Amino acid sequence: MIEIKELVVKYKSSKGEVYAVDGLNLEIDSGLIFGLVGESGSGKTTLGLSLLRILPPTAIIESGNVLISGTDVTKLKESEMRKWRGKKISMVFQGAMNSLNPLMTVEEQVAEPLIIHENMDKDQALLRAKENLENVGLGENILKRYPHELSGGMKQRVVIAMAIIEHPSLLIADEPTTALDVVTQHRIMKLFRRLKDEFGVTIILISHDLPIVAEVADKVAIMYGGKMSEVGDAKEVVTQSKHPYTQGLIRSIPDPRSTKVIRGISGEPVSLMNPPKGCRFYDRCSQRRDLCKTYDYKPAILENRHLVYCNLFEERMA
Amino acid sequence: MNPLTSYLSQLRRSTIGMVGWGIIASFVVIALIAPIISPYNPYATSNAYLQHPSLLHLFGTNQEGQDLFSQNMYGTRIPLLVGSTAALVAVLMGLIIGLFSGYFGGILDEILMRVTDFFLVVPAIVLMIVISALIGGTLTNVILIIGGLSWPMTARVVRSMVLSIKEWPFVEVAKSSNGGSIYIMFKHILPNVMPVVFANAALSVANAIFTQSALVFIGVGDVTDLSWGNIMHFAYINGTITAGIWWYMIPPGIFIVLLTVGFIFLSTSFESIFNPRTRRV
Amino acid sequence: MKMIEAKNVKKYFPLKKSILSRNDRYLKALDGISLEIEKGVIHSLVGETGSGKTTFGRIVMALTPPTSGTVKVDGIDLFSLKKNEMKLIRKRIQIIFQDPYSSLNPKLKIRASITEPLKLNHVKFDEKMVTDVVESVGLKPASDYLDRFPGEMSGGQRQRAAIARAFAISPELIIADEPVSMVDVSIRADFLNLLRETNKRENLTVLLITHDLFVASYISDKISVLYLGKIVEEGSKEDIIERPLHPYTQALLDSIPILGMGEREVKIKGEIPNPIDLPSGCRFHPRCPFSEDKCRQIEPEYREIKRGHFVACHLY
Repeated sequence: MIEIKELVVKYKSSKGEVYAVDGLNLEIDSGLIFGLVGESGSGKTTLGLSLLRILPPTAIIESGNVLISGTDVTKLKESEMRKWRGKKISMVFQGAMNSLNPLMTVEEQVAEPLIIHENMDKDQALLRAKENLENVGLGENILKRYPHELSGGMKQRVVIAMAIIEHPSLLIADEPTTALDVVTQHRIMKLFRRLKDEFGVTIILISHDLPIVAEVADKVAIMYGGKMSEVGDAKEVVTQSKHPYTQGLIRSIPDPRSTKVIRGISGEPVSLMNPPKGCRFYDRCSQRRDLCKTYDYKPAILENRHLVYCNLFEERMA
Repeated sequence: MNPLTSYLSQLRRSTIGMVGWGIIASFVVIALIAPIISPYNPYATSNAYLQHPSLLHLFGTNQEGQDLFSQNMYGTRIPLLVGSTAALVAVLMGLIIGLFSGYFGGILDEILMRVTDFFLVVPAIVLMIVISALIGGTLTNVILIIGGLSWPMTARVVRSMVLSIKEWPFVEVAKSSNGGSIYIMFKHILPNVMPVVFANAALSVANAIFTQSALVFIGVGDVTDLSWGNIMHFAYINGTITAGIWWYMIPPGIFIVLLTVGFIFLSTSFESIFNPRTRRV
Repeated sequence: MKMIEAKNVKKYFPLKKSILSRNDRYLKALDGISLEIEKGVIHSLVGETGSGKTTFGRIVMALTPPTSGTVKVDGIDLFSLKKNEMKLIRKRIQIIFQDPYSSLNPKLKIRASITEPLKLNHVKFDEKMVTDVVESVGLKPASDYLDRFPGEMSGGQRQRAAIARAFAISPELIIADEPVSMVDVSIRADFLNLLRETNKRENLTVLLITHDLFVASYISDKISVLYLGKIVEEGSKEDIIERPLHPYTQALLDSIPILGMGEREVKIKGEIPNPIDLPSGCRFHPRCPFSEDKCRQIEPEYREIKRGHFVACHLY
């Protein structure tokens, strides 16, 4: 469904150029939940925004292609792109639950895109809003309420209802569980699973939280420093991770069932201002070789389309 | 980065800031070298009454035959002096009042803010006329009067910033490390309100220049001190506007507006450079 | 010896009275918390947003007084102290906040922030001490960081600096309010290990305030679970993680995904209610899968079920 080829997105700043996404390739099949996991500065949000072409004014897509159902969205006219947004691709933005209009009721808020985009009459739109809110697990009793009367989890559901009201085939959710309590996080993730099963919508979950994503996602991609590290079936990536970064990430997550000492990955996330020539993870990698310093890896393809972007594997495959 | 170097490096890309500084610097230079560039003694009278502008008299002459160009050059000094010192008085008062009011809150805040509201609401210029009539309009008095009545704006802005900064975790950390109130106010809060204070100070200078000119224009203060407002005052009382003697009134008017605009631009540049939300990446 | 002894601490925030209603309404952030923390122990206070955990931390830091109840630090009552006695106590306590962006003054260089507690408390120090503490939190070499402003460092580096400041004065008690929740996962472990090591080496007492039961389980000796201003369960780490009694603790544990474990079932309903209109009886009953009539009417007693393992629930 989605094919990203050699995508490069850069930000201009007073201190220089930042390549937030730097030569990235990725394929996402339709009808899946795809987890895009990375730490701050990995480029995961930029990648998500590139799909919808709603990057901030300081950012530009420098090169590469983004094919969605065969159409290259980097080449679409802005007027056509506008028709895509909401209808074909929709996004739940990070922190959107805190930017609901405080003066509008829930049903008005959810119905608004229909009235504006599709010129639907108000009664019909409100009816659709009600159905949609039911789909995300919110009953009639909240229709007339205002955002401040809702809990965090309810607000997040309202935002999701707004995102799917025009029945998009692709839904991108950026950090949809951040700032929610653990119990609620779990429920929101289950909601995504249900939306996928019932409506066949493809969902991209962007998050820093690997355990939460891995639980509901079919496939995950681990990003580091504007590039991919590892892509594969969610279960496989977390149980048989191959990339030293993924392994380090997993080792740094506490597991209450064991008493083993968790270890972080030494060093700081790579700066995208002057990224190293070779592997982005070189400075922090425990298994680095001299080769990695200068040679940029090609992905090794293991079984089950499990991709590992690391020289250790390319070597082994050769 | 040090705030000053950061300001200077950002300034280069701020057209408005560069223009503002350019205007201000030009007037400061004029004020300093007025004796050199003035072809005549500005007070010296002659028989050449109300001459049109010419090569001899660039801005023409007035009813006493005094050279208006020389008068305007010398007249730069007092607006700059009064503007900057009165603004300094206003900003210092506003800063202290805003800091204490915002930091301590409670009854002190209540009292200080009611006083502030009073001065914000009362038309300042009327009060200034009354006070200068009572205590006399010497230069020092005019500075104190303008400064002493222009602080409420700064006080309000500083107070609202202090209210938000004092809730920041780094202030709580300092408190729990035994930082006293005065220490926290001056070491932690003050540096974080300074950008806004700078922006306000520049606006206060603009305001003070305008007020001083207005006061002199309507005849408050010492009419023997040369200033743009003073030139306009005499232009007005001699009925030059209706008599078609345009060169008398217009140059000082333009200068007042230009210098005021210079400080307003400066304020805008402080605001956009120091405020991370409006700063361009 | 006890480092912290809190008895029946309550904190009510009065709500603005409306013109029509005459009765005063309160937001009951803390509704009777009793907590004892032994010296040299890492004790976690776990709860969701709105549970009151941060308010409790602020009270122990003496940043806000309780509405009622007493808090003793090393046997000294925090809220009946004279100014200079308070100074002596504060010298022994340091705090670490969640947000490294706002817990360091953006206008001060790292050196100034780190030496501030030393200067304010008139502790003599030299350059070597400053270098050592900065390097001990992983900012190496110290000379690269001391003269920077917070804006010139990454989030992780800032949090390291904030921790260095807390360690600089060698406190006996550290109150850490969500110290790792804004730090990237790959460097989070370092912070937890650092706290653990310092606790072991210097017999440091730590009150860790967190929403993350896994973070708590990783470094704590004891855990208290807070719900709507009350402690619902308390015990050793093993008690809470392996043998949780309270349905709420069980639900919290069920909610956190474990890598590679597959799907989990979380039994509780709804979300934490607003602490203004507290439910009758057991305050957890509207969400509890086991609630009975009794739970709606009678508030369960907080009892010791097993040595050191307390719970407030009618099931036990």
